[in-house]
Amino acid sequence: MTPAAEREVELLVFEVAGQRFAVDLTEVHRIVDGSVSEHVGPVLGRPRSGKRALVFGAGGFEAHLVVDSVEQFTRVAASSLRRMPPTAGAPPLAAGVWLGESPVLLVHLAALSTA
Amino acid sequence: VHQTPLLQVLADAPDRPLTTAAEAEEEYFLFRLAGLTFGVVSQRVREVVRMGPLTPLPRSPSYVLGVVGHRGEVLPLIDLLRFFGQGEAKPHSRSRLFVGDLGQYLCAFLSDGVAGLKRVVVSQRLPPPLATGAQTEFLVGLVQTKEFGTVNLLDLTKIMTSVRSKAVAR
Repeated sequence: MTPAAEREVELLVFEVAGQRFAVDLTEVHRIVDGSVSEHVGPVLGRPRSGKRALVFGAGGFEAHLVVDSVEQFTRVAASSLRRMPPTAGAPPLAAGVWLGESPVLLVHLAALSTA
Repeated sequence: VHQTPLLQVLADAPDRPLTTAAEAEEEYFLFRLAGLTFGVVSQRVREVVRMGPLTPLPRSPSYVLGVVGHRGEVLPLIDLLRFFGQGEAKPHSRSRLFVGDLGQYLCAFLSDGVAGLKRVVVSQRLPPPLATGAQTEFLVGLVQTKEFGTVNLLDLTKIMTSVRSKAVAR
């Protein structure tokens, strides 16, 4: 078995309202144009341009998160990921932090539809 | 009985110390925030760092400004003014963060700058004002200093415990 520290995950990095976020790529079904009629709302901030939307599964249905831009797909080592500190009082949608060049909030997409 | 020099001295020796016992002191870490000077027991402060990239947390308590990465750890950044309901601090290039350490968990706190360390004689601590409010709940007392004027002494352990319990309660 691969030690936890050597495991890698694929992240999709995107931007909303000037802030970078990342999600587990396996949570994203596809990326579509941002002009969707139904979406989960501005849970991560109000998008400026809203050019793209991430489509993800939520309770057996598909939901959309409108974002300003999709920056990159990236493979990161598990050792660069951190759980959210318990003192932060973060909601379930804030799954943790990727310690990249600067900390990036890891969003649990499935939790967005209940946020 | 022949009085030796030793016995002569002993005859006049006091029964108890001439000087009073050293007064209990505590060392406080002093920092500035919104024009005021605050102090917390220095044992609870791990280190002071510059303001780095801040990652905001959506839908978190207002006093949690976000999280910061520090030495491979992720720390919530707390604005004490918001925590006390006394306004809000504004991060700037000269801001400094001090890392509070309760052993099991850490928190970073925003300050406008560090004033230094100060030993405070416990008996010279003034009691907190009788006024009510979130700030007084976490005040240990006040102390007057020549360098910094009035210093508000805060109970960092109580603050961090409260931050933690509020986070868990959400």
